[in-house]
Amino acid sequence: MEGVTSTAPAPPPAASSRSGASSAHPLDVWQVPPVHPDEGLVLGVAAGLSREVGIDAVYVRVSFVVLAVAGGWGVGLYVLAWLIMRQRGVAIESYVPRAKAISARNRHIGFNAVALGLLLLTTVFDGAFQPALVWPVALVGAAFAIAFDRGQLDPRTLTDVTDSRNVQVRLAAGLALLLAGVVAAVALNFSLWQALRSVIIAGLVVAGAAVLLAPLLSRLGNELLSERRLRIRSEERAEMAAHLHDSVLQTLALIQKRSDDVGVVNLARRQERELRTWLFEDKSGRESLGFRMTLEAAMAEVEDLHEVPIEVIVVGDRPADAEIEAILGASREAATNAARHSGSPRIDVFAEIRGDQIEVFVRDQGTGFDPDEIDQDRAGIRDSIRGRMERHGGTAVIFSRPGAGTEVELTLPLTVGPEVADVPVERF
Amino acid sequence: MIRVVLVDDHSLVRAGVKSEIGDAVQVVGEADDVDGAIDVITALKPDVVLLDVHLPGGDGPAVIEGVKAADVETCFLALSVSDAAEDVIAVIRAGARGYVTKAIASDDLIDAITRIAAGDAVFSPRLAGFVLDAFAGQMTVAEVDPELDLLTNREQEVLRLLARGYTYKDVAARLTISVKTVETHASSVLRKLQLSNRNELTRWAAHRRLI
Repeated sequence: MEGVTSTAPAPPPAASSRSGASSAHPLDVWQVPPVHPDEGLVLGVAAGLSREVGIDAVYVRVSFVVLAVAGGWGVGLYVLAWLIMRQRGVAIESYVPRAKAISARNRHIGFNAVALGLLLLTTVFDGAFQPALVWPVALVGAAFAIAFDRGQLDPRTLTDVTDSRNVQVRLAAGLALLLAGVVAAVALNFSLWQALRSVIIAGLVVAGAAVLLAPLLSRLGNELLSERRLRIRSEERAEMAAHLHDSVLQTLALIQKRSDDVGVVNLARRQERELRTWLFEDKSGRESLGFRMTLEAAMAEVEDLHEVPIEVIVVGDRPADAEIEAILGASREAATNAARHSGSPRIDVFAEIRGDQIEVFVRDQGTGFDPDEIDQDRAGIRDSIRGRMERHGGTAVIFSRPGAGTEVELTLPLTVGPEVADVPVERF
Repeated sequence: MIRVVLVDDHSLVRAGVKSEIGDAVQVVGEADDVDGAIDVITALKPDVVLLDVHLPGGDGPAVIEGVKAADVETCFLALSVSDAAEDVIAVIRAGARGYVTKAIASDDLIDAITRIAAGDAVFSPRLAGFVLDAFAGQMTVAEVDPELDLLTNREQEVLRLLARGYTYKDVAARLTISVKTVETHASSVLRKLQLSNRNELTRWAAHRRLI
């Protein structure tokens, strides 16, 4: 049935037809009025036509019903009109009906004349086109129209965003119409070569149902397949992570605790950090190039360079853009300074993105210094941290006392950019 | 002397921890999986359980649930190499009174065990960061018990200082409050984390694909 699906009418390109009356649309040549299902009683065709012609919708509806009773023509016309009109989409707000120069009375007379003409035409053709054919064809046609309607497409991603209830309703409606078409065909034609017909009809039912279900089934199948593939991959990864976690991380932790060799400890710590990054980056929801990761990477470099463990805690996240470069650079300098001069066995770095500012605290528990009596080297670093922050509208405050360690507080106000942590999550 | 049970599936780790803390506390029992842990804890009723987050036959939270179901009163301290927020928060929400990493220095670990035994909460900087993250946003949606849903300003201040690497004593000095008050704040944060089902926590969990 794959072949049938591929020859099905392509879904209307979402960007141009759904979002409205682009002047380049080919249907504009004929001034096809738009149709909106909310507007009318059935699919909105009568309402759309009546707006276009400028008469009351009741007349259009009555005409369709009368034509429908006269051998089913009304149903066929209705479906045909809908198929054409839906190409224009539903952008009724932006659609301007044709200027009507004639009076309302004349418009009504004109429309009713056309309807009457069509009614007479059906009697002429009744000899050739039996109602016995028209009814089933119209019903089956409607079933096909419903089956191949792709529902709502998201204009940005071109993915189907029709909710499943809608799909079920469409499926039910399509099946009901198909069944009605078959029943009509049987009821109206049973008197003629019955045996052959019932075979043909049974075949048609099966083929019709298959065609009707094919798009749905193929889509369902694709979804299941890709979902299953994803699940297998994430299960494999989780299994490997659990294994690595239990064996390798434990070993690395043990090495760090029990080895007296500083080089070995640092190596184990670096390996642990790299493994951890790989293991947890997927599920912790971190923005891969966000502030959090960038800061962690910068601190890891300082740690490797100066062989002092740095504990980095980050709360919140945001994209790593030019704005955060100043505070990243200042944090790195502060950490480098602490690692080189303080003699502290470890450095704590805490960063928080809160509302419209980033704060970073770099703390050591080393020798500390008296901020009033510092040597030229430290003054230079202090000024470069402070200068860098102040040039970008931020502040840097350094607390230190001899013997009580040093803490650098960096604050940077943010002008733009949302927090990554505030990416909207659906609420239920 | 404080009676301690070690739960970890790596015998090497258990041996290491035991040799580190064995002088200061009494290690009365060990277990290497969930069922074994529940049996040992139920039988020995220790003061403190050092609990690995990942175990064969279930995880840390399963042990806590099992012991709770057996109606045994004990305090859990999560001791893990895991850095994943979901593991840590899950074991805390199940009822652990604290979380430290296995890289913790021996003295700090003994100190943590002592404080857990006394009924306090133990916040490593990382746990403080996770909790801040979990309660982040502080949206004033007053649909559930508002008392449980928001950290007070003081609690946030305490957590921020803990995340910055301050000890309880440092925090007390910095905020000019007593260490006892810091402990009270920490315990209250823990209680909120365990009882809260607030939107923000749910959202945070969803963001990290916990649920």
